[in-house]
Amino acid sequence: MEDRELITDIQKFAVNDGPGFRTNVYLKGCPLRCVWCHNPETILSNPEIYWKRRLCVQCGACLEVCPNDAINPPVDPALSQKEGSPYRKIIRSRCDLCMRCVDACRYDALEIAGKPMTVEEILEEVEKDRPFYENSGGGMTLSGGEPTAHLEFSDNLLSGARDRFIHTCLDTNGFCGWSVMERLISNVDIVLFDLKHLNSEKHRALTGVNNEIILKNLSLLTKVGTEIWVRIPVVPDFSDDIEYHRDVARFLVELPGKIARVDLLPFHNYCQHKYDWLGIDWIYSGVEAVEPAFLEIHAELYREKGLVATVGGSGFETNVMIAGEEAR
Amino acid sequence: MGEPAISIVEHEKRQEWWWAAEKKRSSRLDYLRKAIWKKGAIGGLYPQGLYVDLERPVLQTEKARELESSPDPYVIKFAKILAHVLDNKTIFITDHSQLVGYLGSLPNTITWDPTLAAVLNHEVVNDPTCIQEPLEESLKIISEVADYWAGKSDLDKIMPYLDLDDAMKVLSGAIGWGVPLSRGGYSGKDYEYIMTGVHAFEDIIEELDRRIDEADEKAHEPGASKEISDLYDKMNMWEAMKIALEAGIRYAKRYARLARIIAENYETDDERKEELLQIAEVCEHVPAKPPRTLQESLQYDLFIQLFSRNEAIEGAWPARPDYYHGPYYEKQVNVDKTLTKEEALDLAGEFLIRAAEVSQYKVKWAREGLQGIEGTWVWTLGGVKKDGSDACNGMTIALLQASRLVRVANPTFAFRWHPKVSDEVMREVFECIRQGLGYPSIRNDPVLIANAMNWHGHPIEEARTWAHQACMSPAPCTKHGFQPMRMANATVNCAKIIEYVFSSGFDNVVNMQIGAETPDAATFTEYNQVFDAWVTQMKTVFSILVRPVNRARILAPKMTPRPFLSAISERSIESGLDVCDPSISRGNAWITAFTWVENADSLAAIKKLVFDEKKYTMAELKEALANDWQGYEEMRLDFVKNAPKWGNDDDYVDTIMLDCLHEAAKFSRELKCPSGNSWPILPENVSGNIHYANIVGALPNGRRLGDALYDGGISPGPGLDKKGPTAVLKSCSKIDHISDGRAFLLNQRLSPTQLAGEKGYQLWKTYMKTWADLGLDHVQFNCVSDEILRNAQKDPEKYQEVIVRVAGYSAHFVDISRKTQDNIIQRTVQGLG
Repeated sequence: MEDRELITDIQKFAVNDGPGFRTNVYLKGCPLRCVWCHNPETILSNPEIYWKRRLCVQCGACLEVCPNDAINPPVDPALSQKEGSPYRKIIRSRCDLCMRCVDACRYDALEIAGKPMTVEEILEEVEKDRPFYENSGGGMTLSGGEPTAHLEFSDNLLSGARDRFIHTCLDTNGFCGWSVMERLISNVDIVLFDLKHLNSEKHRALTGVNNEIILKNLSLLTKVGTEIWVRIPVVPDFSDDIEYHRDVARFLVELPGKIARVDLLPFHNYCQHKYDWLGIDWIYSGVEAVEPAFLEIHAELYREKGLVATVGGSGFETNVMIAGEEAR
Repeated sequence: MGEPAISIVEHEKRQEWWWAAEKKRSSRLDYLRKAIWKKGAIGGLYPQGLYVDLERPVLQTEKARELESSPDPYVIKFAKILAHVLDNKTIFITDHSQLVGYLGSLPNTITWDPTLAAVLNHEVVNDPTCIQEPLEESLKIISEVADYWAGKSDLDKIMPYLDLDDAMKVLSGAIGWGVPLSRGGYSGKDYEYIMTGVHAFEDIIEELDRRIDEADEKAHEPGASKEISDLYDKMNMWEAMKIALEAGIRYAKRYARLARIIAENYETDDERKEELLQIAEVCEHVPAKPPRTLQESLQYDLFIQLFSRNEAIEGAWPARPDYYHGPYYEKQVNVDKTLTKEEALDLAGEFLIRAAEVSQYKVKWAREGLQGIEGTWVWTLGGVKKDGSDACNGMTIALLQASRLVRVANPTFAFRWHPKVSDEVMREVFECIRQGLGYPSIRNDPVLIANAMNWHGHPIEEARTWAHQACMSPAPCTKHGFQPMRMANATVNCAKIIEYVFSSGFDNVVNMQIGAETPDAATFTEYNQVFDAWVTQMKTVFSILVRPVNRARILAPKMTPRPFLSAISERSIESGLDVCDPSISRGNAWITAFTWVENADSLAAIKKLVFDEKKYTMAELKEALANDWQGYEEMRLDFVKNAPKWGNDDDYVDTIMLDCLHEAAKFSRELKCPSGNSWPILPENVSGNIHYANIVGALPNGRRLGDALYDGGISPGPGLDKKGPTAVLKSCSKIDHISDGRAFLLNQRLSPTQLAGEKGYQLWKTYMKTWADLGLDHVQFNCVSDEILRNAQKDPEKYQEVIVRVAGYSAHFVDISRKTQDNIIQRTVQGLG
């Protein structure tokens, strides 16, 4: 049987993840544990179950089929559908992900997060939006999770896209051996490189890993000459300080090679429901989203250093289009 | 003093477009915009303060009475009634205005034409919301007028000559709407003749005189033939045309006189005095003579539109204002420098306002169907000239800019996109969309020109002159190409086609046999049998609605002639035949297909769940539908969720859509209009999806009686396009927009945050380029407003496609927590998200 990896979403018409209109492919499984993670369903490398509060009518069909006693008995749906209700359908500690409950649900309230797909199946889906790529300079963005954690598959997917003359972006946290990165970038047009924090201790505190290997990879990448867009999540009380961004700007211009652009990505809490669907508590659930307009001041710091900088990472910023053309 | 004023920039940042426009526009436009009354009915009721104008019905009735004993032929009597109205109606000039003329006697009146249909007159009698005080007196007048026209109205005259069976089915309201009348519908016009600065009313009168003299001479030659006998009819027609034109000239001169009287006796402001004298000069010149300036050209156009609306009820306003007024704009603004851009902008804005205030009393179902607007007045901008070169000009830009300043809901614009449109014009178009006007809709010019040639055989030079005859439908503005009357009666509630497959043509909502008696669906054992029954029902329903129109078009020249419209149409001036006479028309008919996509989704669900997977039998499905899915909820959910839906780039259902369209297209060639041309279908909706909610029964796509239908054309069902906007365009691109139908409406939602700034324009422009490459013929954008998002909170199932887009993340709006949703709505309103 051909190799398959778990895909949580193939998102078309993505307009903030590389140039133009893109199709984002989200791989499941990531070595980092960023506490603010916006895509919690992509962290673990095994399939998981979403329980969608709003859609559950509490019919009890899942309870009947569960062999592990991992389902809570039905309650009044008016209560369980309420936002913030502590009621959860699945007892995670007892669940062995047999997925029988998902099959039993007639209301789409239970859903598997992570669908196994082959490279060919993914490419077929990506191929469908080709007319949009051609006019916009768009293409496929391989994201996650973490693509470098799925080397063979990612490499096959990226080279497969290349073979079809589809523009490729690799959205990575950079936490991998250089040989892995080196192999992948041979089929990548632009690397979207996530820079979570310059300070290794802080990095470890909120992502679970040190940053040395990440910074080293970034430095090496600039030497190779691959086009790099550095993406900086701006998280409250972690990476939103003005002085800190002054440091980052300096760091970036002192790298051995060129950074094509910097995207500041404001923290948001739109993903809160995904934590709820997975039955996980999120420490950021009460935290307000960062106002994009406020980050213009931060962006200026990068521009002063001669870097191209955006807030939000739109693939249609004109200066970016020009930068892209130069690179070609 | 008071609050500090908010700047225009700040208003724009907050997306308070109305407030920004108010500050940006000239004081004249501001005054004029506020001096008009909103005429569109809301929820079927006219806004407070409006009343039905009784002046015109009284004038029409008194003249008709007077002429009863006259020996005049009918067409001349009709023209004399029209002239009587124009000669005697109250006229007024709004302060600060530069263009004059209104349909009613006061700005807050809705005009009522009692000659069209007794049913309409009954509605006036029973409409307490808009009758002028003193009530008793008004009601007395209304009932006298209604009494007089009972049995004499156009519809009363035509009905007995239609197929009675068809007429009853049409009147049931189940399968269509509208009436087959030549004086109540959508008139195209021979703009290439009347609006190109060559012929004006006096020239035409001269030609008519010449033709009458010639005919008179010939008619007295010895011998008797049909040809000679026909000359007498022609002379009458020409005479009637003359009466209408002369009345038009006199009407304009009344305005000239009034303007002079005010200027010379009452006006104290010198500047305004000059303006009034200018109005007088303009009205002395047009419509008698061809216009010389932009103001004259607009005034001339406005007069023609008003005369046409004095002759008939016009539900549409076909126009190509930039193309026909552009030469005057270019000459005055760019060559002679006798008009500044700002002055031209004022005129363009006032022209929109003068159109926006026009109102004609309509029956309640029509008002409901139009939801807050007076009619479907879609003005065509852009496009190409006859030689294929770009037709955009300074007036295109002026009109687009003016629309953002006056922000009227009607007229709206549709823009004929083609590859040669300049970036400057594209930016103006985009700005209107970004600013939430909801228009222009975009039309793909090369595709629609090829389409006009393919379906109706219009030569390329003529096809290139096309304007929207109603909301969606292209029609050339040429001598033989323009269609004098689109009779709205050929509008099909297509969801009935699949409904009738399961009831063998019996309509359970109105309790009568309407469709064909196809075999019992419970006995079907193969998908092909279902599809065959569908084809039979489609042909039956189309025929029922087309037959009355074909018949009425043939009856119209004699029974319901249009002397004024004929008088501005070269083919009638030349032939002496009424403009509706099929022998002088190439034909440009179309069948408006409401609620079309339900058919493809229903057939796909049947094919997959009944025949591929064999989860249900046809008998079970028939039973479930007969019970309006009650007691079959799990099964219904299966049909909603586990069957492929149109708009997801899924070949399973997209192929079925094509099968349906191909069958309809084949039949369109068999159905002939009286000019011998075909009847292609045109899927679109207006507000039919809501109007028909209680008329269409349960459907195999999981819809229940009473649920709203899909919102239009080939747009996917709300919330069913789960793969986003690119997949929608891909599905639609499988349709050949040249040969599968006459045009296809597509609604798309865009979020204001995506459209903000330069990147927003770049995104949109690239999107449009891809849309064009894919060969679609139409798209219109709704900005995702706070209102849409609020609705999505209330009714998540219908808004599943609304996506929140941020880097590295995507989710559907409806899934997001309530608090965050509220936060996003706040950002959407403020445009900061």
